Amino acid sequence: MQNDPFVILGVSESATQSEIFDAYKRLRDKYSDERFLEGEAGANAARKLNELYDAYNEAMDIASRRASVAGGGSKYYGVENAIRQKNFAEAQRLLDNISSRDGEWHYLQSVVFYNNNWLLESKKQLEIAIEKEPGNEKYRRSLSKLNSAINGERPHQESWYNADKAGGQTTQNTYTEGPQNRRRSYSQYRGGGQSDTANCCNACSACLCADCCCECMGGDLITCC
Amino acid sequence: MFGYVIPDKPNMLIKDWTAFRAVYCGLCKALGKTGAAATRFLTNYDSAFLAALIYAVTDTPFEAVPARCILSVKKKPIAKVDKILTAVADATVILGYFKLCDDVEDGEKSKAPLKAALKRRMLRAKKRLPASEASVSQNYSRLRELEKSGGASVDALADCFASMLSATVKELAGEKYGEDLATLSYNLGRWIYFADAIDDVEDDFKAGRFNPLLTDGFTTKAEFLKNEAETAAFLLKSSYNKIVGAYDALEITVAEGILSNIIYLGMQKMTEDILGGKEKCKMIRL
Repeated sequence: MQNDPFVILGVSESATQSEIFDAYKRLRDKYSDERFLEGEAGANAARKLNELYDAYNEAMDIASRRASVAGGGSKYYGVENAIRQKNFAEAQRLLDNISSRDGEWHYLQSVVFYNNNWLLESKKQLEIAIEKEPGNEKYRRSLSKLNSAINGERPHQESWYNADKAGGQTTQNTYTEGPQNRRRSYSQYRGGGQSDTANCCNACSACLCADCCCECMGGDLITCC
Repeated sequence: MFGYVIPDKPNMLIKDWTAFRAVYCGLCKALGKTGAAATRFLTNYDSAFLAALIYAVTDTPFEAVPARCILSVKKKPIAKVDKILTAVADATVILGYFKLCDDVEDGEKSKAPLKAALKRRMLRAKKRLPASEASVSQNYSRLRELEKSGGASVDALADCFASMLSATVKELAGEKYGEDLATLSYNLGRWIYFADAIDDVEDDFKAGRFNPLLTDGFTTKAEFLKNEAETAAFLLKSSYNKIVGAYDALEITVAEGILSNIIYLGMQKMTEDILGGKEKCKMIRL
């Protein structure tokens, strides 16, 4: 809902279904290969792949609806347009003017609420939409997406919890530890000179520690001290 | 403000804790400098977070200098009172003043003298932050009307509080106020509003005060959390996750440690504590 599917796929908004499919296939193949790269690049490609899948479904929905009402124009065309242009006040106004309310109306209302951050209302509207049209895949997908966004499948926190449970030992990367697929990089926290000096200190202290141990046992690792 | 936005101190690096304390104490100094000594009591953790956030988004590093506090003999690093701290102090006064007004209208007469004492300081803050003052006063009266008329949705009620917070952040951040910061501040307001509503549900029920989450069929907080677990969790967690999403998208170099700790750990922990039914005042604080 946040990103324009057509932009993600790199096609124009008036693209036909076959054009969308071609673009999807091309990008999918590209990212599928990149997925196995090491580190950030691989994680990035995997995330892109998910994004791509959602964008493809959404773009196909829009295109198929456009095809089915070709010429006449759907009564929600204006609303959808306003939503795509992120003009939610206008979309809300148009929605208020429509008196016959079917599943699609509730779905669009839910989208508007979501973008205004009114999440509880958004969820309610989506549930009404599903109630009215139980067979609609798009509504179900949106609801599960909404729910998963709310449950926050953000692995970086899992890892923090696990580390905590494992023995309460938290290291320097308390806030940053986690898989590479974070949207934000913590270069200022993790990389750069800071961690180098930290590593350097670790090496020195390890040597000193080893020396102490040796001396206890009668030997000597660093002769000068 | 309410003091829900706090760091997770056990898991905080000492340098981050020192920086957080420097901002917090600096805010207290700023309040003392720009108003009567009594206004210092408005200092709170939420405002300290706000100050750190404004430092971060405007990319202004703060300067911590060793200074003395009336509460302790030893000198500690305290942020120098600069433009940002003064502005955040003003915002704190505005938010605090209208909160007091709201409480007094709710029947807490004991707070009336405090409100009267703050009035002049608030008018001075209003001159410097006119848009915030307008938004806060409008939204509090809108909230009051919605409460009276009844039947407003929870989202609409939270919208009042969320809007005033994002309007304040907008004025403080100036031209750096973008879509991500808007989402962050709006949802921060929502989150604080819901956290406060869930936390106070039992007291409000007993005292007959308004609470957006009051429904039939419960008398204690434990019962409420059992009956309405899904709604309560949805409200808090959805706002929280929007905050994290918006924060992830922001470019941040200054005060990153403080903000990351509060957003990733402190607020996460607070969300769970509130949903688990812990009383705010009984929690172990900093």
